[in-house]
Amino acid sequence: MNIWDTLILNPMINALLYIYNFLGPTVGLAGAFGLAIIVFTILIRLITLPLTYKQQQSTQKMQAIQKDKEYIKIQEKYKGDKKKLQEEQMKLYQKKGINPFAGCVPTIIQLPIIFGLYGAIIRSLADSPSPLLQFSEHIYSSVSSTIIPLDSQFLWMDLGQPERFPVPALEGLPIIGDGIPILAVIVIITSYLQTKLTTPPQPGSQGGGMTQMMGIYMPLLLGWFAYTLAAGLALYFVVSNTLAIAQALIMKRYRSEPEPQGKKKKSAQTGKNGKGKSKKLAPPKEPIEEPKQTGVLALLANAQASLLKRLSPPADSTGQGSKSSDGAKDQTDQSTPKKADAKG
Amino acid sequence: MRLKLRTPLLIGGAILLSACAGAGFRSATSWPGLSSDGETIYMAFEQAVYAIDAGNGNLKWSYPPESESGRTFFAQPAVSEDGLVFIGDFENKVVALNASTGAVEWGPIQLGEDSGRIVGGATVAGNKLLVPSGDGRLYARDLSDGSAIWTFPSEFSEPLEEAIWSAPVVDSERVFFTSMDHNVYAVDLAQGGQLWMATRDIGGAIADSPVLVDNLLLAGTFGHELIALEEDRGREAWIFNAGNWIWGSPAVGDGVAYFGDLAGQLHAVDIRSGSEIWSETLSSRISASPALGEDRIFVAAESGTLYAREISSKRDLWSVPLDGDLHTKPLVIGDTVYIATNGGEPLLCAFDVENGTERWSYTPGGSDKRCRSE
Repeated sequence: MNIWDTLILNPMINALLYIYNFLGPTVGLAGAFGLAIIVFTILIRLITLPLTYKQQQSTQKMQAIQKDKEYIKIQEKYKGDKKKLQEEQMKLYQKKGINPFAGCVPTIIQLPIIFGLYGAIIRSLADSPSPLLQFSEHIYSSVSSTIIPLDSQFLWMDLGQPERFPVPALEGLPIIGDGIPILAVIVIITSYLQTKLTTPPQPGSQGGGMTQMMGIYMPLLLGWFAYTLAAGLALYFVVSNTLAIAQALIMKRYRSEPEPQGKKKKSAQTGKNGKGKSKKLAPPKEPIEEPKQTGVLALLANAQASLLKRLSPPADSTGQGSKSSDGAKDQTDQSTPKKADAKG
Repeated sequence: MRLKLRTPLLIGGAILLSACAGAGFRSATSWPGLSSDGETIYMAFEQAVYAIDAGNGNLKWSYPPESESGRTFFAQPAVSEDGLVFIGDFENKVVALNASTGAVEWGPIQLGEDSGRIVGGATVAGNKLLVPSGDGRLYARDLSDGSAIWTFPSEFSEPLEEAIWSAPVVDSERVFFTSMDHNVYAVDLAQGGQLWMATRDIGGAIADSPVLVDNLLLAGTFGHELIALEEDRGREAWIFNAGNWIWGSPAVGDGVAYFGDLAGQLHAVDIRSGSEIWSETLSSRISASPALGEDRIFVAAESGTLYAREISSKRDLWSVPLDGDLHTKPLVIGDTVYIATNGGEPLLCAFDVENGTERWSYTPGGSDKRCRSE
């Protein structure tokens, strides 16, 4: 048993089996493995939520710094010297406390998940003696062997084979003769949408060009995987992408929610005076124009703010009366560039 | 320029990754299927079936003469008294060959959907050939020309929920077979109608054949149990819990069933009571059925060692390490024990049952390599 099997493959296989075993009696074994993949994907997304959240934050920081005066100055100054430009950019990132590679971490983490899950699906759906015997080596003793063999059917798919939706009328035609690869098409579309939503355009820069290219090639790459590999993996891509899109949309919505003008002034004042929680939550020594808090933190901050506001007496003109609620809100507003506020 | 280069690199990487991932879907493989008529060993493995002289290991013939793309053979060949060998393949086809020459007598005949695979060996019963299929049906064909006699479940009914991977066993009137759907079935040999199925879900898939002895059907399950069912009605006589998956069939001699499990335990169980007489742990998992000789048992440990033990004393007589895994039941004919390896070389080895001396070995295409792996 190698490290890959011990740390990645076996936990994935057994997680799928536990879920399958749990769902089997509830939904009936037919389709349980497809549902197990869906539940597994949701769990994976929940586990990696802090990372994806950080990735989005990092993306926003990177986006924000491009509007920073110092950054623009560096761009102009070292226009002809790429090496120097990169050095100065790195210095600036360090100064502002930005890790330009932080956004890559979730993507890198996705890779072992994809390969591990692919291996887990293929092994779990073994349908001939040698693969099934090999599969038995991966199963923990706590997993009930009565669930073997697993049912590989889910809707129209055999989850261990490349997915094709059978259309009798197309039989005999090249490429689509075996059926239409619906999941592969959905994977391409959802991957494209996800990339669009999670990596905002960076016009003009080299990074922007690369992002644009990745926005085209990543969906094609994942689509190719979905077309050629087991349908179970394609199902994972579809569910994972859909959840990522939903997450991005939720974060975007909360980020772009307009706030009453009066409140903005109030919180700005509180922040300026350094009173209440604003002092505690003071930004880094040299703040960049950081984007507003998004996602879970923003939700929590907003919820806390509105709750405290309801519990607190009405605020006076100086904002003293609503110190607590605004303090909580300061966390959001202080770090929010005016432009972002104006944008809503 | 860098961006231009990235395009083909990404596409190439994607293609490479999908290629490396094993053609993108499950591979369908098994281990060598071995049988004999006493003079010839018939071995089905991968793209060919080999007829090998049991005395000297010389190849008599192989089928097909030229390997056919995508057509693979793993099911143990069946031999009839009138000199025919029947072979099933992984495309759900069956063919009858002349045992002496390897010439095709009839077929190949497509049994059902070509997605079904013939994993278990066929069984000859009178004028019928009974072929178990991965498509969840048992096919009865006329021995002389391969024409259909009956199919269970019939073509008008749904097949069993899971595959049949094991050769059926027969008595004068009935056919008994196990299925991966956790059940044991009894079917009327003449008409193919169901007589009974086990009174409950056995609790685990059954990969190998049942053994019919003293009006009992014994079968090992993935649910860790050796079950004994009454031959007449399929009622449970007793259950023995082994503690791990049982893949192979038991070997029965003098009222004792011998079988291994995937934890590497070799068990001896009294077939009247279902109680354990003894058990012993071997060097690795045991997936193959053991074989019995005169006061000795031959056990193939999966990691590649063939053990010969004296039954009365449980004493080790000899053992031989081989190259490759062992999943196929050893074959005992007279004073020779034959064992096929999986993924190793030679593919087939013959040893003296007394002392484990190598008699001969066979590797397709020829090789000087000896069986004993040092």
